[in-house]
Amino acid sequence: MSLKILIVEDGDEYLDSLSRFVAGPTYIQRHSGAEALATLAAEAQSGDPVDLVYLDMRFDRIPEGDLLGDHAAATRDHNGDAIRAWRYLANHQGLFILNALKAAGHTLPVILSYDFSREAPRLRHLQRLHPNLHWVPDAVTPPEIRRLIEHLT
Amino acid sequence: MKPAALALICLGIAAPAWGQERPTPPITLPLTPPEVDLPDAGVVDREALLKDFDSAFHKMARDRNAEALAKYKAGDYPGALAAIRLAHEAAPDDPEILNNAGYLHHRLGDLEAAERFYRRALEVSPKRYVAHINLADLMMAQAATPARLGEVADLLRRARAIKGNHPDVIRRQAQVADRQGQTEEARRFYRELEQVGPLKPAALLEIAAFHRGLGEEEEALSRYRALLASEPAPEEAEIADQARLAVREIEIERTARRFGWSGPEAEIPAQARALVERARRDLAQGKAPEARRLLEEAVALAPQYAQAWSDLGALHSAEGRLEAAELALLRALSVDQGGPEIHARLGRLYLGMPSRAAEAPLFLGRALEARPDWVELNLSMAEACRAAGRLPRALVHVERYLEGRGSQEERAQILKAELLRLLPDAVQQIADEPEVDPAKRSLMNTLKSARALISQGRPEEALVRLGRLPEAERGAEVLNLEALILISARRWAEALVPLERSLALDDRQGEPYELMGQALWRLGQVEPAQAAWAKARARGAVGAALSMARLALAQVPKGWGPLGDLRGLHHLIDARAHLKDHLSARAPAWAQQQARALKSEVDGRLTALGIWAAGLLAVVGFVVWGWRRRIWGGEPLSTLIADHPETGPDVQRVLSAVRHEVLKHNTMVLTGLVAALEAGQPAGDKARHVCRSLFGARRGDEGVYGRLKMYAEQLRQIGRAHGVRLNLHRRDPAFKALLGGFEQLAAVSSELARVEALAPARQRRLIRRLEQAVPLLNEIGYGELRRLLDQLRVLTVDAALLEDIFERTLREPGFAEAVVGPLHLDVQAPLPIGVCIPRGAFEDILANLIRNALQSGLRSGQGVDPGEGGTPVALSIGLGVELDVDMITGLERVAFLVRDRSPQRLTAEMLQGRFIEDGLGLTVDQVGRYEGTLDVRVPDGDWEKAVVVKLPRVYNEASSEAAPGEEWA
Repeated sequence: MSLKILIVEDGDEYLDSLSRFVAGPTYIQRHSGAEALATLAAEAQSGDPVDLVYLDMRFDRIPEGDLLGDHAAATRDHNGDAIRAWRYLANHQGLFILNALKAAGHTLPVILSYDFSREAPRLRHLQRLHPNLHWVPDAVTPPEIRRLIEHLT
Repeated sequence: MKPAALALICLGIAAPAWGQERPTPPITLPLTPPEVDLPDAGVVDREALLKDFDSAFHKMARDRNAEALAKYKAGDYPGALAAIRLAHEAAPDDPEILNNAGYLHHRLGDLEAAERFYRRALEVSPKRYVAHINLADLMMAQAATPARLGEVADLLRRARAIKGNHPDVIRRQAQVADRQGQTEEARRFYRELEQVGPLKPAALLEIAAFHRGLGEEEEALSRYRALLASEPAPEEAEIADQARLAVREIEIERTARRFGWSGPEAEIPAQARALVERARRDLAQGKAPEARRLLEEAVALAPQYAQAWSDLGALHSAEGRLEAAELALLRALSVDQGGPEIHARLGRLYLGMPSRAAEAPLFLGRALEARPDWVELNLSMAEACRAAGRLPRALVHVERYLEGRGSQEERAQILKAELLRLLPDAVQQIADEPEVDPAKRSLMNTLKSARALISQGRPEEALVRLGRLPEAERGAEVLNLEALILISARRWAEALVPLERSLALDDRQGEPYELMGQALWRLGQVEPAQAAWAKARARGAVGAALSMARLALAQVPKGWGPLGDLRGLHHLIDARAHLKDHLSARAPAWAQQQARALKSEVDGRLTALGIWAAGLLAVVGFVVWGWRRRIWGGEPLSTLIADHPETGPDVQRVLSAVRHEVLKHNTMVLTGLVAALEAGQPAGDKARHVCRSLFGARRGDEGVYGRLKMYAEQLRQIGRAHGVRLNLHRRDPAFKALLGGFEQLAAVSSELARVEALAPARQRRLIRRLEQAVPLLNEIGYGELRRLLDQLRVLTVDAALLEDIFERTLREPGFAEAVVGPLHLDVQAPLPIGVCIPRGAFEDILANLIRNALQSGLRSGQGVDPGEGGTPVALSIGLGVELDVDMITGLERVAFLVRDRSPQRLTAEMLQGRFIEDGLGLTVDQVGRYEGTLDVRVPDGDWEKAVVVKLPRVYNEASSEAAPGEEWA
């Protein structure tokens, strides 16, 4: 049975690229955290659970209502600026989804497509919270992704 | 009232008017005009009676006026004068009678009275055209001063306003302008005159003379010929004769110039020519002082004007100023050494000076040599020879004079008799006269007569005369003269025959080569012409250099302006060199003048060319500079960020978008495609995907490349908004690499779309291009982009910076009197620490918060000196630094807490509601701009409150490098 990878992104770029350049695994695509959680649950129930989540960071092309996170708290934290709060949620949505996965009890490996190479302290903090968190830099190549996937599964 | 009394009343009215008008005694009038029908009795209407008398006097005045004119026409001038005076006395203010009175006095020579009558006529009737014209004529006939000429011009202007464009007025205006020396004005009036309608012969003659005086021969000739073609009436025969004579004179002058026997006067200013013409007219009218003044003006204006000097010399001579005359004539001679008239005048002057008479034959002889047809000159020559003791020569000339039927035959006969009487005593002198070979004398005579014929404008006859010479006498001089005549007659090819013969006789001559060059040039044989002139120069012909200069100038393309001069630059330079040669040689004065004029023209053209070239160079330089500036000028993004840190958030937003949308996805697909192609795997689908992704799949979707260009334009707009022209394509390392990489990919996009169909060689080439593009995007562009983002983000904050901001705020005038304790710095974060904000913005924000805390404390009475021995409570400000971590995103924010002990209330809602203390509203906006937040913590330890500003932390590069998982790398 082949690997099953859930891609969570706001567009289609990762599905297009990975299915062509990192061929082999079965790719499932979802566009929001809620959909991703539902899919993971459904796939687990079906007896063929998802092996890995490939997660985008920015979700600025989906409806604001589909974003995970507390908008009211974010607005307070941004001096009452609701627009900035939405932008904050969209720009870091990958981490909100990661948080939701953890809250839902999912511990499967997650590859976050975000370049932490200049933010080591932040990565350390996040990896303390989410030991299943892995990342790829912006300038990653298909063989590097393939090797990481193979390593994690 | 009795009739006699009425007549007295009438006289009482008329007499004062007469008395005012005329200083002369009144003339008795008939007491009762016969035509007046008086009432004989009863009540008399005085007004009606006066009206009747006035009418009667008026009629009488008219009759006398008519009578005066009739008598004038009949030649009864005293009768005419008497009648007009009676008319004037009867009607003293009648403008017609006043004008007629003026006219009669004018004609009869009483100019003073005439002018008075004309002026009175114009006072009475300012619009009387005839009076304007008459007064103008009268004033012009007198020796006019500039002021009076100005008045005449004014009179004529008024006359023209009254009568319109009448030829008589326009002609007079032209004459006055000419007299005033306003040549161009005169030319304009004459042109108007010609446009008004057909002109009378006299007017045509005048216009022709005007142009001739200005040296405008063609203009003059066309008028003279028009006059002759108009078939003048018999009474205008004299005018026609003058025109014919003028035409002939012009043609002779032209011929003489063509043969180089007189200097061209093209360089003489028109105004000087006009002055000489006017002087001659004045002299003809006996106005010698006026003529002298004009001639002196002419020579002052044109010192090279030989004719003016000559005329001045003649005038001085006529007026007995012999030294001045000699000086003027010698000046004339220095300018024009060949002028026969000048020689003749100088000779006659010396003849009139007993101590100088011996010098006269020399000059008179030269004049006669040039103009043997001047018969009268022979008598002067004879007298000069007589005075010099050369009696046989004197006899020869007196006999020539008598043969030529000179006008003073009696005087000549007396001289001849005297000479014959003296000659026996002068036998020895005759023996001393050099014997001339009769054959040579005949040849000389033929040459002389040929030259005379040429100077008279009869070259064909001269040619015939020379042709009659026997072959033995047809030497080089004859042949050269023949060639000269043929060249002047534009018979170029024929001229070559005698020239070749002449050179066959003597090849050392320069003149025939010079003439040959002219003929060849006219025949279109430029190179042979140049060769001939070169030989002429080598043989000392001074005119050859001038001809070569002309040839060089003729070879400069015409009608192209400076461009033509540029194309013919070498010809211009050649011409200049030839002219310099010519000017350094001993050429005749007229040729020197021509050379100088030509050199001046060439110099002017070369200078203009230089200026033009310099201008062109400047324009080209400017265009190149502009082009270079446009292409290579402008600034990179780093300059914008450094000079305008406030652009940071906007630039960062765009750069983040570029990083996320442009680079992130395509790095993987490009490297994947290259790997597939290199491995020889099927790559068609991958390549098409790359193509769609990078350049769009449909109209309106420009793909990633389009988005990159859009972001680049957004950055340029940000730059423009801050006065910085960004040149991302060439000056910015990140965008130079990114745009360059995409351009390379665009160049192979069509091949990408059909990669499977490509031949192996094309595929290899495609791989090479992709391998060149990928590093530009994935390595260079990406690396530079991250460097820019780092530049935007980092401000390193340490304790010294925080204390410095506090101290600076404290030094503000508003806190000069405040008693403030030291800053309580409480650092709970690792300093120094990086925050994502420009330094200026950070300092503004923190200073505002500190200022707000100080003001709040002062308002609550802290830090204020109570005076009179009271102890002030020092105002305390605390500044804390903490690190705040978001548990979900892992983002770290550095919190700066500005603490105070003022009881004044401040809440987060108040901050967000923007209605707090001065300045904090802006601070809230500024904090938000840099992704920061502002909050209030109440209370905060032993402080009343703390305003907390949180800013995103950025990591020090050295300490923050993370690897993407050692486990798989």
